[in-house]
Amino acid sequence: MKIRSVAIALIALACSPQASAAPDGAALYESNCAACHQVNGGGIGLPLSASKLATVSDNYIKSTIRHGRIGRIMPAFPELSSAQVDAITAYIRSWSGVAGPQYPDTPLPGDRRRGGSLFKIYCSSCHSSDGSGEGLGTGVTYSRGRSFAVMPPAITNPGFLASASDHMIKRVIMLGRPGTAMKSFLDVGLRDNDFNDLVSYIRSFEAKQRIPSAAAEETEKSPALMFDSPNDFATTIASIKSAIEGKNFRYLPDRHLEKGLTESGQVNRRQMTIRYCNFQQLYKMMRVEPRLGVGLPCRITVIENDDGTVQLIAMNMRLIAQLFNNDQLLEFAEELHEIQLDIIDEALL
Amino acid sequence: MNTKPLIKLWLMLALSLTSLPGIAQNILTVRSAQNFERSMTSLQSSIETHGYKVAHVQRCDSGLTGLGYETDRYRVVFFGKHEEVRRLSADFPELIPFLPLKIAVFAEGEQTIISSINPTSLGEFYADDRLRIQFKRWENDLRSILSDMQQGGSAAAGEE
Repeated sequence: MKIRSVAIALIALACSPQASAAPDGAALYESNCAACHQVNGGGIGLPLSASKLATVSDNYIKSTIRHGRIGRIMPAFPELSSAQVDAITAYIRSWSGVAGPQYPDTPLPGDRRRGGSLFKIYCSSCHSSDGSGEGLGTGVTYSRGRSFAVMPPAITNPGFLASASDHMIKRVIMLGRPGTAMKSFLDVGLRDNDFNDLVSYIRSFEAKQRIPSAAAEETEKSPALMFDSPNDFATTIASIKSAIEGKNFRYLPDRHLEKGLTESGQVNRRQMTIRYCNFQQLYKMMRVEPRLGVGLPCRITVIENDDGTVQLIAMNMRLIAQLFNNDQLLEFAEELHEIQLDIIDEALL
Repeated sequence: MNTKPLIKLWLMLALSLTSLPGIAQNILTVRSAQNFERSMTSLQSSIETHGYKVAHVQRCDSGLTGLGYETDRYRVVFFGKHEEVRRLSADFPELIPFLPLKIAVFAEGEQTIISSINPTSLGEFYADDRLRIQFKRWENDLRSILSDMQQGGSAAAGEE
């Protein structure tokens, strides 16, 4: 009897309005997308404008949400259910009030080599000769100079290539993207076979995709770099500062780890954080990753243990940079990682 | 040799690598409709409401503009609980680079972006279960603070 009651209760719960309610696309969009795309689809990346939405299918939007853009800030959202992805897509689509186009999945026949020549003439000035987009940067926003109102997307990106059908790419090339530098190449005078050749060339980027390197897999897994110092606390701090200057970085005023968290007299004075910066390096990195501040500033903390031993502890920038979905940042982080190791090496001499 | 199956296989592999659970949430980010100054005030208030003390606000834009770079307003807010920082730094010195907690705040026109590392994303690097619990607590607090910013921003936008 008891089991039967529980079963009935469970069935009732499953059939309740709450359990069967469709996901709220607007709420999902606000919590997952609006930070970058703004509440109305502006923000970084291609604006989710009516003119853009008119050229992309629902499947393209869903696939983009699901796969993101590897190495380009836009993350994949594997944790969203299909119903949630559908709801976000429907919400975005509701802005224009017009159903999206449907494209066949069939590949377009084209002359890839000829497409390559056309690409060089008509596309490479914005999308770069290898299709990876316009230099450094993330989009229309953040703390950076902006040479384009909208950054040309990396059309080599596996997320893009997996989401866009040949027919969709063709249509975008033909009609362009109003409000951006992407013009209509129908107006330029290209013909149907030209578009097919270009699509064939763009599709060939799939064969040139960079396979994730084994080196990335071998990266050490500790988020902190820890070293024993042969010197005493004060000497270690002085050595680090000297090494920082030697690398053309500036160090900021000393700061105890606990400073500001308690009364001055109660601060542990055997934990000193040395913060340092090279503004040229900082600017380069913030251009490619505006959220970089979550890891700033560069710092090395010197601690003196109860037994008198002294240690240096620093963030493993190479590893932490992997938390961002940003290949360009990884390159800079690698450079910074090496500089940081040099500073520590020199300080420990 | 027909390379298409290999290409497809690679593409699927590449995409599956990005589909690891949680990868989307390594960096928690929200947008506030409040302007930068109001967001800074709201953020510090929310941090304190959640039981933390703001230790320090680091300006990141002044050095850049001083050198002639074009940049928006940018701050990093450091905050923590003294006893927690003392205990964790003693028990887990390898956690020190992430102490105190921090949130980056930067202007985007008249709106503001607020970002933080998701502490739980550090969990995969630290084996100790006590830290995993700590990371989850921090994540919950950070999400709540960011939610305050998002909702406060929306409310403020509605008022104006």
